Amino acid sequence: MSYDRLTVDSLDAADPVIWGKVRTAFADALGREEDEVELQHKIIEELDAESLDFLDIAFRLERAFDIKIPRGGIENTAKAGMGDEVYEVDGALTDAAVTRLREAMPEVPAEELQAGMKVTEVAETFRVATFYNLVVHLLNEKASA
Amino acid sequence: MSAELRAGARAADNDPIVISGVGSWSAAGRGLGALRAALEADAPCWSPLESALPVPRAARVLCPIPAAVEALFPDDRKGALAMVALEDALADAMLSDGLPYAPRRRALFVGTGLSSVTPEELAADVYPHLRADQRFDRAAMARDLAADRAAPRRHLPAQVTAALAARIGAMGPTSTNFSACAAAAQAIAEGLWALRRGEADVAVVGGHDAMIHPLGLLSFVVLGALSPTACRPFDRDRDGFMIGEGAAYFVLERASAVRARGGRARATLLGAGTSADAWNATAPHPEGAGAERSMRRALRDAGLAEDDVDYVNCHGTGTPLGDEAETRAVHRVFGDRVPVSSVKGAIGHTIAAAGALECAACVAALEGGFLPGTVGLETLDPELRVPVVARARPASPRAVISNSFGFGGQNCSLLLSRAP
Amino acid sequence: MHARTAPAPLNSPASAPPKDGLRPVVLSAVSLFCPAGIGAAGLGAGAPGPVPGFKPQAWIPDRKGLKLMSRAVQLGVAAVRQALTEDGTVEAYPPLRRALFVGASPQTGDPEDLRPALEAAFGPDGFDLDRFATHGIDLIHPLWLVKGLSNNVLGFASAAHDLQGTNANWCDGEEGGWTAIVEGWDAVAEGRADIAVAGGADSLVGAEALLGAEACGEGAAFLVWRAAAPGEAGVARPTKAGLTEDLRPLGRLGAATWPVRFGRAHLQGRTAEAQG
Repeated sequence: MSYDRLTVDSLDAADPVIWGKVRTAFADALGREEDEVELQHKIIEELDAESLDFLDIAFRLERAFDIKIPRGGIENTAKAGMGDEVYEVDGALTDAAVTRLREAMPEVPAEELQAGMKVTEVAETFRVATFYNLVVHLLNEKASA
Repeated sequence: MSAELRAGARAADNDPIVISGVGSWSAAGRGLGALRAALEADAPCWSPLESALPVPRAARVLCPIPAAVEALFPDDRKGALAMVALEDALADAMLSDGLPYAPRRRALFVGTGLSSVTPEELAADVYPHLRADQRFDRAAMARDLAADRAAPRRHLPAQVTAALAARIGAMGPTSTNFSACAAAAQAIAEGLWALRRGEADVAVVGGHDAMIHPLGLLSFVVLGALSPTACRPFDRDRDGFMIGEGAAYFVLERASAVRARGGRARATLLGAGTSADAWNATAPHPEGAGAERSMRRALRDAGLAEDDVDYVNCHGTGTPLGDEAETRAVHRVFGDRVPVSSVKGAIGHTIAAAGALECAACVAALEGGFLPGTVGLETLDPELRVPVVARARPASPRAVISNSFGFGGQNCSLLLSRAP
Repeated sequence: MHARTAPAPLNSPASAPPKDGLRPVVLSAVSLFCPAGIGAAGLGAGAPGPVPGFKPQAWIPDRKGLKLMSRAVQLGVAAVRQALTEDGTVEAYPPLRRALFVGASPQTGDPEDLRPALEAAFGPDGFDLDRFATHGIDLIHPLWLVKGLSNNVLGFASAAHDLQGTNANWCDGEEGGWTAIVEGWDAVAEGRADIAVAGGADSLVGAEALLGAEACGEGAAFLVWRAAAPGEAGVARPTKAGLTEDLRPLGRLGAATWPVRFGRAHLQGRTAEAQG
C-alpha cells in the first residue's frame, strides 16, 4: 500500500493509523497530552522541541513503524544527488536548494523557504506533518523494496 | 576571611597553594612527562577500538595496570587507574612514604563517574530477570548480583574514594564529586577551597574515568555525541567527540609547606570558579552564559583580571554547538587576545576525569613553556572569533584557565600559573 | 582594553555585614519527603518503602523533563521546589548568587530501558554480541544516558529555579547529603552565595537484596540557607551533634539519610537551628 504525503492544504487527509502513532510519539517525547499535538504545529516554535527531543521523536517513530530514520533524514532527502556546494553557499540556501526543499516538504508553506536563509533555519519550519511525511516516505520505500 | 574578601589580597598572596605532585595516565601514556611529550609533538594518542560493536575510535590507555593495583580493584578499571595516578602523584611529590601532616589535616577530593558494564555483563545480570509477563524483576536481579560480590562494586564508586583515602591516611574532608564532565575540575576546586578555609593542610585531588566500556560508548553513540571519524575541536567540519579514559591526581599544599619539607612545586593553583547553566538539563546554554560566569568567577576567586590570562584550555569537545558556545563565552571575557586550544582531539574526552587530565595538560604547558595545539583541527571554523592554537608553540603564559563543562549544566574553570 | 575585575559586592543589600570574615547565615526552610510522609506528615512513624502519596506530576511542572527523571531524581526535584516555595525569597536574589548542593545516588540508566535491545540480542545460543551490534543498538533509547546521569537533581532543579551560582553534586553513599548541607552553610557564610539550597535524594526501594537484605526506603530533604538580614541572628555551622535518630524503621535511605534526619529533627524543633 502506498501512502500520500500531506501538503499544506491537505493536512486533514492524514491516514488515521499513521497519524495516531505519530501523534503518540510526539506527545510522549515532548511530555504533552495527545490533543496538544496537531499536524500543523511548528515543532520548535510551538511545541518547544530541542535537539535532544528530535532524537527521542525519531527513536519513537522508528519503533512504532519499524523504519530506520537516517541522521539528517529530512535534509538529506531534499539534498539527494545534489552536491553540498549546489545546496548552500556560505551556509545560505541556494535557489536550487529551495526548489528541492519545497518539493520535499509540501507541508510547509512555500514562502517560509527562501533562498538566502540559513541552513540552520530549515529545522524551524518543520511541522509535525513533516515527520508524518518522512514516515510515509520511508514506509513507501520499504514497501517497494 | 571570606573567599570574596580575600579576592584582592590573593593576587599578592605570597604563600599560594601549589601543585607539588602530579600523577597522570591518559592515552598519551603514564606520567606527566608522557603527556607533555605528546602535547609538544601534537601527537594524536587515540587508537581504534576493536569491537563487534559499531563504535568509533576511542583514546585508549595503553599501559598495563600493575598486578598489585589490579588485585585491589578487580573488575574495576577506573579504580585501578585512580590508584596508579595517586601513587604516581605521591611519588612525584616525594611523599610516597607518607604525608607529613596529621591525618585529620589530610583531605581527598575525587571526581568520577559511573562504572560501565559490558553488554555481556549486562546480559548476564539483567536478561535472566526479564520475565515472560514483560515485567522486569528487579528484586531477583538484585539477589543474583548480591551473590556476585564484584557486581555491586560496579555501582559504588565511593568505595574507590575510600580506598584512595586509606592509601594516604586521610581523615580530613573527603568527597566523591559526580558532576559529569565537570567532576574532576570541581574536585580540584574543592581541594583549593578546603586549604584556603584552613580545613586541611594537604589535599589530594583529581579524577578518574574509563567510559570506553561498550555500554558507556554506546550510550554516547545513540545520543549522537560521538564523531564517526575523529574529534576535531573548532574545525569547520567538527561532528562530535571521542571517548578517552584516564586519571590524574595532584597534591595540593601551601608553597611554604612544600619548601619546608624540601619538596618542589610544579605550578600554582590560583583560583577556581563554578556556575550552573540553569538553562535546560539536556542542552547547554547556546551563548555559553554559564561558561562565561565560571571563567569570571575563577578570575575573581584568584584576584586577577582578564588581561592577566594568556591561554585558555577549552573544554572543546568538538561538537558543533559546544565549541561555538564556549568560544563565544571566551570572546566575551577575553576579546580576541587570548589564544585557546583543546586537547580532546589528542587524548579524547575523558568524561569525569577531563578536568583533571586537562589541568595536568596545563601544568605541562606551564612547565614546558608552550601552548598545546589542537590535534584533529584541520580547517578552522571561520565563525569562531577567538584565536585557536592549531599546533603547539613555545610561549610563557602568565596565567592559564582550564574549562570543564558537564551535562546537566555544571561548569568549572580552574586558574593556574607557573610555580612561585 | 579590559577593566580590572572588581570583586563582586560581598553582600546583597538585604544581608548583614560579616563578622570575622564570615556572614551570619539563617536556615529559612526545610522540606521533607520520607517513608513516613511529606512535610509535617513525614515526622511520625513509617515503614520502609516508597514515600506515601508522592505524585511526581503534582510537584514537577516540567513534563518533558519528567520522563528523564528516575524516582530518586523526581523526589529530589520535588524537595528542592518545596523548600524554595516555603522560603519564598529566591526570586529576590540574582541567579548567580543562588547555590545548589546535592548529595545524590550514583544511579545508572534504568535496566528496563535496555530490555528491547537485550531481547533482540539473544539468539539460539544465548547472548550474541554480533546480534546486539546489528539489532540491539538501534533499540537503545537515545536519551538513556541522560536519564541515568547522577547529577540530574542538580541539572533539573537548577534549570527550574534559575540557580546559576556555585554548585556541586556528590555521590558519597550516606555522607554526600551531609557534605551538601555543610557546604550550603559555608557557601553563604563565606559570601560565595546569598542563598543556598542543600540536601539529598535517593530511592533504594527494591534494592534490598543488593544491599544485604536490609529494608530499603526512599526520600529527599532540602534546606534553604540564606544570608541573615541586618539584625537577624545567624546559626552556627551545622554539626551532627544531636542528630541521632535511628532511621532504620524507615529503611535505608542512601544519599537522603542525613538530610531526612536533619529535616525530621528540625521540623520537630530538635535542632540548634530550630531553637536558635
